Amino acid sequence: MPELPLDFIEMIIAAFVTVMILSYAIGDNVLFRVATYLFIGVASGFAGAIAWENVVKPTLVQPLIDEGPASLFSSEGALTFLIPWMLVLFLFFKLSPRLSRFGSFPIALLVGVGAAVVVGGSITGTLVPQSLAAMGMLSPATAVSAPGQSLSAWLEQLIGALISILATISVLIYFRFSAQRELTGRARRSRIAEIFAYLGKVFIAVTFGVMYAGALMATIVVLAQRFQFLHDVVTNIVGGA
Amino acid sequence: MAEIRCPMCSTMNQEAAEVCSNCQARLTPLVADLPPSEQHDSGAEGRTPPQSDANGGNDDWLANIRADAAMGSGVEDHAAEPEEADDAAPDWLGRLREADSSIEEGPPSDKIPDWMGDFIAAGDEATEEEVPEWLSRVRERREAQTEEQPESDEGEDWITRLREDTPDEQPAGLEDLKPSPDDDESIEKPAPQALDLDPPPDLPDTQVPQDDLAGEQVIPSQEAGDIAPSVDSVVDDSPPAMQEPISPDEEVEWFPAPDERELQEAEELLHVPALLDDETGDASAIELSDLNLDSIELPDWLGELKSETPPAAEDEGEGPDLAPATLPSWLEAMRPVDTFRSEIEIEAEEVLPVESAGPLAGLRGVLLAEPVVAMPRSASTAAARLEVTERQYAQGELLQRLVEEEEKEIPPAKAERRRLPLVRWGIAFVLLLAVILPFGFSQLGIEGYAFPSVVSRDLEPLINLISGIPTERPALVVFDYTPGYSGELDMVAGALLEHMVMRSLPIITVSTRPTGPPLAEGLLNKIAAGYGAVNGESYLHLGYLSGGPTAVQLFSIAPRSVVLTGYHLPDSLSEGSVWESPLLQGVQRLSDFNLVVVITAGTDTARTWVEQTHPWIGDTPLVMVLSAGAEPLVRPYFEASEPQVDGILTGLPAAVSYRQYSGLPLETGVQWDAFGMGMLAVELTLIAGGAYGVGLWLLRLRKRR
Amino acid sequence: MKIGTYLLWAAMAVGTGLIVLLGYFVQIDQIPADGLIRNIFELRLLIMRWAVLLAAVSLGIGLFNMFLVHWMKVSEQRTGWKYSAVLIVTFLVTLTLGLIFGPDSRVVLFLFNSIQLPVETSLSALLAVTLSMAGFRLVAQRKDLISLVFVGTALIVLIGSGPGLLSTENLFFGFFAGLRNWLAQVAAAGGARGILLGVALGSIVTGLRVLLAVDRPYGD
Repeated sequence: MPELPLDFIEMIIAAFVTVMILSYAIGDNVLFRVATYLFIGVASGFAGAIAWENVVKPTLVQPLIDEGPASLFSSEGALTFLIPWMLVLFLFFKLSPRLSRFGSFPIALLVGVGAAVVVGGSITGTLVPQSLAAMGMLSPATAVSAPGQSLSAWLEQLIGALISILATISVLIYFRFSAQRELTGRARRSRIAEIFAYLGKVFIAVTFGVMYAGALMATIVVLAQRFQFLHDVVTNIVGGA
Repeated sequence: MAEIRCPMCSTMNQEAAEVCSNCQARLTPLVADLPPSEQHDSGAEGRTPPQSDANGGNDDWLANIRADAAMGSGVEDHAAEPEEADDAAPDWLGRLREADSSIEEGPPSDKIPDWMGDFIAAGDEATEEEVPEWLSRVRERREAQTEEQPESDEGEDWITRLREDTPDEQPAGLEDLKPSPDDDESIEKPAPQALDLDPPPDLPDTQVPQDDLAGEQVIPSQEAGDIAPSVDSVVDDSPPAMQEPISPDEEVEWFPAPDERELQEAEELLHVPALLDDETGDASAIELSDLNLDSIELPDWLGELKSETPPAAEDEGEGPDLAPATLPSWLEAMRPVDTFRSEIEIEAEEVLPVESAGPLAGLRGVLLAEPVVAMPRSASTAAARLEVTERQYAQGELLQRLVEEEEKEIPPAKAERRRLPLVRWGIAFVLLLAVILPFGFSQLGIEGYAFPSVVSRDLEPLINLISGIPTERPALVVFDYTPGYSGELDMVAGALLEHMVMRSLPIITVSTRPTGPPLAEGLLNKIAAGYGAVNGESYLHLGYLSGGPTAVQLFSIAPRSVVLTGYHLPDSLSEGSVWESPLLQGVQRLSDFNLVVVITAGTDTARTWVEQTHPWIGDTPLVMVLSAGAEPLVRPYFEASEPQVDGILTGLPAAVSYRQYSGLPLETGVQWDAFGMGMLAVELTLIAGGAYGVGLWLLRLRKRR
Repeated sequence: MKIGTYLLWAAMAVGTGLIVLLGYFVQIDQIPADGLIRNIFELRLLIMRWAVLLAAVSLGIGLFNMFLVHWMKVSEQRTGWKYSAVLIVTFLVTLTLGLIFGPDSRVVLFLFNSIQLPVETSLSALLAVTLSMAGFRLVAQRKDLISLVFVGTALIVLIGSGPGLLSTENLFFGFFAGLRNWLAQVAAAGGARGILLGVALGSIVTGLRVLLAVDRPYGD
């Protein structure tokens, strides 16, 4: 009996699984559920394997194999091997209800570093540059037409810049929910803030509309690609036969 | 007509009523039925014979008191009381005690209590009065004690002494204390209680030396003259036992064991009509000798006794001078309108048990908590009708409904009839049909969609950038998308990567997702096969970075410290480190790459790479290859005077355009036609939805009209 | 004891966080080759390496927890235990093969390419039906201005992005293509910038609350 190439088997299985998943268009069924549970098992197993291979093993195991136990008690070894091992062991305490409190030690480190990374990145990567970009939209380069630039092009550029700034400001005002409490007890923003907030809501709807259209486009491309794949499988099977 | 207030429900009742018309509580305490012999004795002792006119000569002070009381009360009938009192000469202290036992209220502010008024008018009924048996027993005991200590002046019955000294005298106010036959009916009494043995609070509990006792000293009174007998005269006649200093042992023993006579007397105490069981309670009599009559100082209110007419009708209206409590409206509403009859019958005094323990030991008619609480009582047939407001009625109904619903057996919910998802089926059918149909175009000879002829203004700078990038240093390509978007991004990124491979630009791949490395390997393997590129020579995989933004930041600063091994390394590098590859020579940080391309479908990942690499990327251009849905939130980084993103490639149309204008082979297959048909189907779906909505609106409008 | 450990965790989070945060405001070129600043910078890198390692171990702990949940489901034979059994088997097989042969081995890639890749791709393809249905219902049921703007924008972008029914050079397609570009590059870009600024502000506030120990998600 000829040995089937692994790629062919892989293709057949992929086609079956694709049909099982696409059957959800009719309704929830056993095939769909089996396929999803298969996927979760494989995905989680693969993630665990690659995390071990790329991160954990090179940090915690490989130095012991490569450099031996003696090097571990040096200052560098303590910092790069012993302390990480200690942190990992503390993290495993989280699995025990009695000792879970000690697992908070590495969690605190993770949380602290993560928070700092987010704060630093937001400030230096988004807040400052984007604020400067918004301010720069009405720079003289934009406000004044460039030499040789047609009036329509300059107007389009200027109006575009104004609308963009208006969109940015109105969206920021929309996200500001502070309000004064009236004598009646009701909290309400000022009239101007309400107008700008509504305008911001409109611009947010425009932005999300563009995103929704893009997501639709992406999924249609993927759907087309799936049927292309099924077509290729059928063609291979038929052609092979 | 005079009225008295019910002690239980505060309803005003007629003076003559024995029980309350509202709650059927007794308005007057029941008087114990004395045995005939004792009745006679008590009557003989407790009652001053009307014929004892021997007191007439010495009752000037008593007459004065009576006169003052009569003047103060202003009751005409009381005018005759002093004369009557002269004739009767009753034992005012005994009556005082009797009245004290039945009356709870404190000293009246202005009026004389009825029971006191009766004493004043004792002359009319002196002959027929009954002295309470307990009082007679007290007197008997005192006499007995007096006989035991005949030599002691202190042992003399002060009452007897008083009687001897002033046989005809009787304090005017004391006559008020004389109980009348109508007392039970007329006197406003609270719930009957045990005999209050405690001395009045304003009476000092001290022994008054007998030597200091004068014969007849006027009791200081606060109001209306001296109508009360003198304290000393009262004190003088205290039984000797009470005048003896109490030894420490006796003081500790507040309730010494009673003797038989005391027990008998205790049984015959003025009974309190209550809820007592015959069998409960021993006959532990009160220690009447504990009554320190010598130490009793008459309260001021006693000194304010005024002569009153004995008729009950007149006295009924003069209840205890207490201001009625003001009940809140909600409490008023709870007052039973109809009669509420307790089924517990009030028993005769002799069958009532005697309290056997506690401070009320020896008393009969003491309220027992346990039998009351434990005794089952059913509501009377004439159930209490409360004054219920409408709101309360509605709330009561609601509560009743809630309780009834709890008891109801809820029928099993009918299985809902499954509604077929026709809309979903229809849309799915249309979409699938639109996507499948182009596969038959070629067989049917139908031309597919034309490729885009309009190039977006973003594409040209990108093409120029990739075309002009130097190839000495590698380019970093980040595969940060899930396999779910590989159908689109493989096509979009494939165009860019193919351009880079075509230019022999070394490519280093990395990913912050576990599925990134196999996707990178699969795509590059497919692209490189067409250009002869080999893993390890044209491209290299650094593998997986865990930690998200932290890993990106660390990789930007020191990639060698975070990537310790690679993925799918060639055999030449399998033993060593990935950094030994010639492709990575001189790469110490992110800015050492000549290009950074981030392929992602998520805006968060794109934002992370932009934020974390910004301080460390230097002049290295950053290009974003995005899914069509992620473009809007990445474009601000691109549309800036100092852009953080130098190139952006979004969606299949842009990729097709890129291939068109970069000279790459345009092998999209049927996908472009399927994509076009799918887009058309979606557009028609949205338009159909709008038409459906408008049609529904018009129909509703027509129905309203 | 409880108070002491709470302070220790907070000190750890705040200390490490501040050290990492400081590095964002120092140019790497300005860091001297040695000295205290250099040492602090190296300590910063060390702490971040520990965080990367702990993130990978956390992933493993999460996988172990998932395994336990489904194992309990199978052992107690709760509803759907057969599916959990399938999950457990595939998980163990994939993990074992990956640990033994490596995640880049042919056998593991076979599993990846035959099961994970097509399933995820197909699930994304199903999204097309779901998103289309959502758009249909939105435009059919809601008539407010915001919904109309949302759907109208999506329709314009779809028409302007996809291949036209006719040639792409006709006026109709050209108009929509230009409108689509304007919407995406001007209106949507301005709104997206506002959203990005708002998200950044929110992230800063949330991160600062953690760095100031106001929020302590790591527990006591």
